[in-house]
Amino acid sequence: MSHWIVGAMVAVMAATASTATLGAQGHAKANWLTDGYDKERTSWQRKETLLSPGTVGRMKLLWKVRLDNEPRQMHNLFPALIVSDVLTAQGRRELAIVAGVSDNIYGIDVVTGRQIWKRHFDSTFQESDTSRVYVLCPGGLTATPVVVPTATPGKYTVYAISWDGRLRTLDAATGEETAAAEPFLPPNGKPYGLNYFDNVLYTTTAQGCGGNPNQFYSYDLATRKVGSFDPGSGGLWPRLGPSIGKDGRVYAGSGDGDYFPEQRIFGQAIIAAKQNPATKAMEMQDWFAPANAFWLRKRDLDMNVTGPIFEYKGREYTAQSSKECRIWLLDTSALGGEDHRTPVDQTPLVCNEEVQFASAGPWGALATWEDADGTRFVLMPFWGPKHPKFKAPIEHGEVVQGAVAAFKLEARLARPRLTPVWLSRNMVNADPVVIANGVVFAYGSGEDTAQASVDIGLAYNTAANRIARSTRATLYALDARTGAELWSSGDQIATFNHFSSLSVANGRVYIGTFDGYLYSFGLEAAAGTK
Amino acid sequence: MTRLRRPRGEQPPSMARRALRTVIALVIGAGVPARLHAQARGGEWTTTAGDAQRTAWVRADARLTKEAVQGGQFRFLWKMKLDNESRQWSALTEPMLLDRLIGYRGFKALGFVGGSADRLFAVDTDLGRPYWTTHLTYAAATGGQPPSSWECPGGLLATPSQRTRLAPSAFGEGSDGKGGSAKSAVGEPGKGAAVLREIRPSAVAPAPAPVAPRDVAPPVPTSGVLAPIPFGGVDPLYVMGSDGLLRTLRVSDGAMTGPMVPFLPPSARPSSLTFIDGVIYTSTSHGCGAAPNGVWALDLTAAGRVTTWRSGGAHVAGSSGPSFGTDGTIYVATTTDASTPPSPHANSVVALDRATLQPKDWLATDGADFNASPVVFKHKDRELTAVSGNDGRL
Repeated sequence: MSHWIVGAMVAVMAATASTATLGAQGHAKANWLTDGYDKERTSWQRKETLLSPGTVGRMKLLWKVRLDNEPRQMHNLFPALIVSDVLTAQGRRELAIVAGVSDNIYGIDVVTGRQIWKRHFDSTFQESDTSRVYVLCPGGLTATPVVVPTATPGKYTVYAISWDGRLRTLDAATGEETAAAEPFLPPNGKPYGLNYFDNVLYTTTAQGCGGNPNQFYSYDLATRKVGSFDPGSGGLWPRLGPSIGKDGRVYAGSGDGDYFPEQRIFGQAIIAAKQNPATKAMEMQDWFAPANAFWLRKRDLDMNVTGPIFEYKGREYTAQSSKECRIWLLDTSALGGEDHRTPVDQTPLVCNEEVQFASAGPWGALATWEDADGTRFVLMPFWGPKHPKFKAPIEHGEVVQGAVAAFKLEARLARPRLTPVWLSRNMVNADPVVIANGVVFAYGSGEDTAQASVDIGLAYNTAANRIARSTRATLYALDARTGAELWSSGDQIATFNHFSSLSVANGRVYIGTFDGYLYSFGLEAAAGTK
Repeated sequence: MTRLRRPRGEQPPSMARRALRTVIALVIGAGVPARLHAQARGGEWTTTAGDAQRTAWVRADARLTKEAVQGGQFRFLWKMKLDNESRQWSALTEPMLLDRLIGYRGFKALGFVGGSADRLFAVDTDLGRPYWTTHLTYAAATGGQPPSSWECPGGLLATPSQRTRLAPSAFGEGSDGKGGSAKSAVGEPGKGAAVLREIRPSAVAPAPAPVAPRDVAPPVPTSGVLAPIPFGGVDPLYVMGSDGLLRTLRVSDGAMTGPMVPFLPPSARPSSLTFIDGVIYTSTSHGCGAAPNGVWALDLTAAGRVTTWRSGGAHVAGSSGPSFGTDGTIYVATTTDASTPPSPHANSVVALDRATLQPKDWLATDGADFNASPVVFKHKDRELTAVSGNDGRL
């Protein structure tokens, strides 16, 4: 069967499922089909019923499984995607789909913790001695895949980008490739978590890895056309991948680069791009550049998080941040207002008094959830000490290595404002959180995040140096309303993780670590757990 | 009314006030609003007067422009009291500026200011915050510092230096933006991203990093002090205390990175230091610390060998120290007073060979009474030097 025919079949299948919306699944059980839960990257699991502030104190290690993926630099496993009702030859199973940086994807039965399939991708890319690989450009598979429901109940398609830049299409039940690999991106780049909306896949790339430009990319599954938009900036590196608004606009922050809008150079900006429905090209729609963009550029405080999108009192907003360590609240209908430089609101600096480019600030993603009474929360995990001038009504001890800061939106003077609510306990480099049923699951990655040392400067930034000084990850369950610690994994996790995140569904929380282990913590009462 | 006699070759007002003004003046502009479009990084200021030619000319500063000054964007930003004690007319040196250190505490723009109390201050010039302070403990075997006098104040007098190019770049540092304007594209069906159509050998086998053009061929790095500056700017700062010992300090925290190296006799009166191609240069005047007046070179690539040109007693004028032609020729101006013996090089502009410090040529002008370091510049096809005298002539 020709590639074209296979591609067309896949396109038809995908087109039939095009109305599927990640996160808002119609199934009774919870899924986690994309990094950050949904296309908006809220990291908020809406369907959790087992884990709650009243039950998480009973959480324990349910299982851990070692996957044979070889680490590259500091990367190993990407966050588990959870599909609760995959129709397999053995019946319906709840599976974790886990990608490894060495071009592997695994299917794990989450009830038993057993690996049931593995797919290793062949490659058209030949690594050589001149392929520049280092901590920031590890090579390999770097984008968390995305799982898309098909029109057939129980059938799911996994989309991934292999090291050679090709799009891979797998059957979630077996790991078999259901379509030939298709050219998508240049090889040896660094794409971030795949997102999906309306039959189109999206990602962004960063660091110029492999000599590739830093761009937004779209893959139109119906036409097999790849669109791109290059903002003329540094890397676009939202760890969970770009977020997508209700109208299909794709949002990501641009990394260190000049901000010369009159020359159409958009460094240090939050950029909205969208696929042109006719040409399939990605085109810029809007942008926000903070008033101190030059300062951010000079001190390498660029945009580095996935910013979630949410509705509040009938309008759509996105919360974004950078290494500077403040949150910008932006109205997606006019990012930055008429001058592109005015946020709806911005918080004071929460951390990074030292103005550090590494080991401080949020590094990963913001998250958001809404309480039953309609209170909208925005969460920012961050690395390093709290800013001494930042105060939250509820604080849980001194913060020196990282924490999670929670804000709520309050409508004042006709505009929503971000108001501090709580600041969590100290944790070693707090990484992206997830929220489920009144519980915030946070973790300190335990990795050594330093990129420079006093004696050799940037030459310090090698995987060997940093791995040697990394410790262990620790998972925490926090009361989402107060930030109070309800449970922690203590010393049960053996090693750190780097540039990954969590997922949660059906009474279980998942975290992968550098040594190749996938951990499942949860309640023994989780449905089907043996 | 008795007027204090100022040492010849010095300029009013006090060095302390001048230095403070310099600190402030040099940081103005750091906070100019970001609406200024040109965002090129400023150059470094690695030695007195900005370069080895002592031009004090920043060739390209995209933010400090006539328009910005006229537009009111040039304003007072901060001032800082440094924990220093003045000695006679001496307090703070001109700051050296490192525009971008990527260090263990982040990206920093630092100023390095010597203090007469044998201290070296590093200041975050963006934020106006102290960064580190290093005390240069007096280590000469003289039983302590000799008394201070008007003409021989002692203390740290020599402005420190970082590695300095013999010839400045023709242009300032340009933008290090990623280049290119924003653009959209779409690939052919089934052919992937449009960028895949482009010839990008670097995607498979990156080409070697481009070599920055230089005005002068670099010397063969036979010594660690000649090793290329690593990306991130962790390059040493060279400073000399009143004990005449040269220290090599790490810019990231002010710690010494090697042993002190004998350079001048203790309590001399040196001018600014200049580090070029592994050699530290300075000059001395007023016979302070029993150091003969002249030009001094300390070769860190040759086990600390010190070479001296003695002026025959004439003071070497100017606090900036020797100036350098782009071919390496050293220029100094001399002056005399009642205390100096007759010298064939008095009231002269002397050209010295950089390696041997032997005179190559000189111009003696009776009564010139030179009072500054020469400035060297190119005009059409020739390199010229200019120097001023106390009679107001240039």
